[in-house]
Amino acid sequence: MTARRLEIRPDGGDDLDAGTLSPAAWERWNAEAVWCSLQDLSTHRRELRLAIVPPHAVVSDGEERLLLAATSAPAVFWAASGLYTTVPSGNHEVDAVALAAAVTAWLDGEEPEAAPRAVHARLGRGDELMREEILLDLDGGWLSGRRYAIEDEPMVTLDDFSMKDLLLDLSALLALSAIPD
Amino acid sequence: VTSFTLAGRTVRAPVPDTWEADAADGRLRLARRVQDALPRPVIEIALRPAPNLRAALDEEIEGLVLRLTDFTILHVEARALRAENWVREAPPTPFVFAGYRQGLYSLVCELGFAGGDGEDGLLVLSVCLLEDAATLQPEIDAILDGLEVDWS
Repeated sequence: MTARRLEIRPDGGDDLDAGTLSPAAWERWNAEAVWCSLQDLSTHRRELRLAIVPPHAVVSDGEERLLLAATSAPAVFWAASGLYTTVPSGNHEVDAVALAAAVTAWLDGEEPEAAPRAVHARLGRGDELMREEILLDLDGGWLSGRRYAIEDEPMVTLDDFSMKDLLLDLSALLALSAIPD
Repeated sequence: VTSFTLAGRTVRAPVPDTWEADAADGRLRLARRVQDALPRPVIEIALRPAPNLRAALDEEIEGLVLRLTDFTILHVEARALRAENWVREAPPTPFVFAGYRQGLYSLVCELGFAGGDGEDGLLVLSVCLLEDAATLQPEIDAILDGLEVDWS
């Protein structure tokens, strides 16, 4: 199967193979999908998204959607993401308080006053969000800001981001989804 | 742990029950038994000249870039492997985690040196499907962690 464009149109049908889906069918398909989303928070909020329901997958870049075989789509996704990471990401002299405040703002859907280039990374299945973090681009190395609740107190932690770690989480989710509920 | 002879050196590797090992053409190849239709998880181990490990690693990466479709480096990190595999103190060459396409499949691989004597290096390449990467990671780690090479 080669990559084909997928369109979502009100007059679209219910068959993904036809290359055109109705919005309702698209919603139903996504409700089952394992997905990973990278939304660039600094450049027009463009989103690169991978959604998989074997044997199909859809890689979206904004409103452009490519229909691919589920097995080949991750390679298209990671190549398009341009994310490359090292550990450690560098001995950054960071203002952790300011970065944590920026992460909190982004996670709350607000715009921080000053912050580095950032990407909103999410991983999930259907409506269930399994992983969410804000990736901060610091001189080419990426830090990951995540929010936890400790005794109901929200806290933000900053760590080196690992693309390997994100892909292993995606791999685990795909392996789990291969087992029928 | 099973012993193999590579280029006149003894290399020992743990071979889990679900894997099979074969030494040929100067390479040791460990492969996991799975359905024939799917790309098999494989670990390839070879000795190669590496007086400058960093340059040797760059050369290997260049080869993969040229041979594999959409080869993309995704992550670079140190792997703490057996210290005795290094005649001198272990140099800080990292392992490279990368992805590529093989036909319809998305594969991830790790490449790096697991030992060296200043002249030769023990090169390791692991490959598996992305879908298998998380479940196979402990087995791949165990094989890499258990690699031994006699330089004497």
